[in-house]
Amino acid sequence: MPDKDNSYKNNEQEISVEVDKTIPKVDFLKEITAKYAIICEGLFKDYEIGNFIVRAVDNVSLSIRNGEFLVIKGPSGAGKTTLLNLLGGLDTPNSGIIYSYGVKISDMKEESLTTWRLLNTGFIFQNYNLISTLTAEENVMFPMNLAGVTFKDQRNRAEELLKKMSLSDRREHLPFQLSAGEQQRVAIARALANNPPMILADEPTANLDKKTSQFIRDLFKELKDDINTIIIATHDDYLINLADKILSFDDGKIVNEEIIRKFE
Amino acid sequence: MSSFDFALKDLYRKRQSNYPFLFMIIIMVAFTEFLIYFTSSIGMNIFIQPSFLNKYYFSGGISLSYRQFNSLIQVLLIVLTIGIILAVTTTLIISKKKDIAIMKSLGTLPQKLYSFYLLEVYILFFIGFLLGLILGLIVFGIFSLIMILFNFPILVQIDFVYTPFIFFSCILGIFFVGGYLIRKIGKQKIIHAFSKDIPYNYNAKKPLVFIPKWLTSIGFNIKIAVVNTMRKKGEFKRYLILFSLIGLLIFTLGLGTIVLNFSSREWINKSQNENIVILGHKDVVYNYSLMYKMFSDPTLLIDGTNINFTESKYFFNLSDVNDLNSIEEIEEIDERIIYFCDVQEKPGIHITEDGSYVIVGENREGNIPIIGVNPENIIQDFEIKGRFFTQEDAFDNMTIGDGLAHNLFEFPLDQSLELIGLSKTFHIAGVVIDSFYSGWCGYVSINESRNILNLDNDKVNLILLKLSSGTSQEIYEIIGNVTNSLGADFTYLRLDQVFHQNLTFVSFLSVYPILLILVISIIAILSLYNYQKSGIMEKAQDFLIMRAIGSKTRSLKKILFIESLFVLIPSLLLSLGIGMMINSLFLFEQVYLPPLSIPFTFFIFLFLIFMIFNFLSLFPIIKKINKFSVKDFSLY
Repeated sequence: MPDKDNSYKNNEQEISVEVDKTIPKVDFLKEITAKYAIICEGLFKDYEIGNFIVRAVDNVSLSIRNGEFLVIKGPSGAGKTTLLNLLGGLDTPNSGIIYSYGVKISDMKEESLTTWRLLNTGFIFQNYNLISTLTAEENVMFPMNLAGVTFKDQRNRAEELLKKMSLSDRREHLPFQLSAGEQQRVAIARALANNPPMILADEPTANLDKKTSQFIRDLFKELKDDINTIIIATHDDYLINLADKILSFDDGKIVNEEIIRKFE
Repeated sequence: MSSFDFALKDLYRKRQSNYPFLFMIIIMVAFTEFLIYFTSSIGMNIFIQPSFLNKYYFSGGISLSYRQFNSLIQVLLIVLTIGIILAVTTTLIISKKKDIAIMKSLGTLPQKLYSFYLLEVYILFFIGFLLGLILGLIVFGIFSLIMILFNFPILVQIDFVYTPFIFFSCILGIFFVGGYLIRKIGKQKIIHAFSKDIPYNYNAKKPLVFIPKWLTSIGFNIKIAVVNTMRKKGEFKRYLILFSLIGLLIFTLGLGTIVLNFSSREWINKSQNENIVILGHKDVVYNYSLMYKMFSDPTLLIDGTNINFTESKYFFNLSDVNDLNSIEEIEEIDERIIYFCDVQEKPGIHITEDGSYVIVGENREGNIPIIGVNPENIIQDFEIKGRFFTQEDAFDNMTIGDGLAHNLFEFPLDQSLELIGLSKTFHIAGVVIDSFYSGWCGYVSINESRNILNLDNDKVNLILLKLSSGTSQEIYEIIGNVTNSLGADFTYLRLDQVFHQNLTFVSFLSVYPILLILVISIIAILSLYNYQKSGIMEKAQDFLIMRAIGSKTRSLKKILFIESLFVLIPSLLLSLGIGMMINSLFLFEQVYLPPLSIPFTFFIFLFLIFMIFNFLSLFPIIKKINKFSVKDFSLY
């Protein structure tokens, strides 16, 4: 049950959200899940190199609504990638809590987190990270294969996605046979394969030519309408302009939060 | 996509980088298989014993030494084969680390990762093993044909011991070692898994504890080489073990070969002597020479069915050949009576090391040649354990050959031999290394033989003459005349050719270890090349940057050369130490050990050879680097 001050206590920290005091705990979680894709509180992430500690994320708390297009911007080395990795379940914080669709992922064991990641996120890496020995089509099919989709459906979906990416005629090609822009498009197709509720992208237009960057920008604009939640770390002004909320990140901290579109 | 489907695709599509691994497995398996079949075909395999017509073939003390040595080499080689296969498969898995990390990030569970990559490793191993097996058998087949052309008998038996052992050991090894590695990577955090052989939280500031600081201050190239080696500990450890095994094998082979070859030639020379002529009935002379030839011919068997040496027509009086005493060139005359006899091992009491005693002996029987000799003028100078009987104790003592000792007795010097049917038992006073009848011969006093066979004191059926070297044909004619005086059926025969054949056989036994050394050296070069090549893609990017800044190719060569040196020197030193211990533990106790300078000279020779190979292997590597451009890194 929530306390008088509208805070919900857990074992470690308080999470402050606006709640209806009359709603019981189970329903409270349902409401959180319905409204929020991510809630995190007091996140810390340190990297130890010998005696030297690099604090990449420093006491970050934020909430992301379902369907929100969040942009995280900031200078190089601010900690954007680390924050993205934490939100996407690729890494776990040293302390703090992350709830994603009502599931506390910050304490999850690696295996559970892996399965969670497969079904709930589509991650687009800055350096594409395609599996080097699989063709474009096979790379897109891979997450569906893990999710137990039938081969026929995998094939159809992969074809559909690659067609969307204008890569139908390149589906039999290996990553090294594709240009940077083409690899990035395959990576986006792969991220969309299992229809995840959340897409995370780390500098998706970095190091790409103007034409490809524009293609990807248009794609994200389209995704904004199709996909529930998008979180992007970027310097791209066009993508920033698509945002519902912009977080300015520097030195591991959120230095500014700009709400462009308020959610009811 | 099934695990099998992925494994095949990954293996085939990255074949350029997978081929060296496959090649190493094929070479190692082929070589090991060849060695197994080769050694068993010449009777040197303790587990695979071919059935030769000559059941006494290669069964004496020398064969025991060579079998022990061969067993040691085979064990080391099998360990090396398994070691190389595991190192190769481990390196293959580590090269997939980035792909594993990507799969993890997409949501692949550790069990699935395990099935993808372990299956791939197993497929590579199965293909390599099968091709290696086929290649090894083909090479052995060609070798056999060549040997048959040279009239050297080769026998083939299918190996049901070593090959399955290697196969299943590798299966288990890959499961535990490779499987452990994949499980470890699978359980790592993704960020950690994206870092390759350098640990994720590597602290570059931390001083290099085992490397003295002054070493890195010698030069930039050495510093880079030191840093590269220390940061990739996993790779360094793998190749250190590998090169230590290779060095150990080569060192053991080389030293063992020198020792055994020297010793065995010496033993056989002593047992045969030189410039020996035998004189007697033509049947006796002929069969006697063949009984020497049995040492090196597994298809030859002379026994009591071929000749009965005790037939009266074979005997003559010693006094009938007194004229031989006047020939100056004849240094010694050794009168003998030879006969086949059924014998039985008699039990004896053996005192153990702790002072207690055991009854030893199993009453084994055999039919062997007994030679009556005069111990005072026997022409051979045998390598002996125990002592040769004397005139004084000849009535109940005898000396036996090593073949007889090793096969019919447990502790021959504590036991006796009964001449069945002749009611005579002799205590074994000594065991000699003997090439006659492959060492299955017993030596008793000639007088005792005469008593046993009811012969007059002067009777003999064979005489051995020791001639001085360079004896002229005239002397042989005189010997011939003396022989003819015994009768038309009597003759003489020079044993040089047979003795030479036996010595050649002993020398031949050393050919195969030398061949082994050559092949293992080739394997060492390939492993060295692989070591330098394996990290080349990560290094290549650094090298390209260094070159862009202004570093010369010479510097890059130096860095690679020094890195390899850091692996070679400790592994050679390790192999020297362990090799010396193994050789002293396992070689036959009667072996003549060389002076200490020989193993050290051999070590220095080995070191120089490896340095040359190290230098030569740089050329293809540098050529590869020079062809790179930044674009190539997208391949990897």
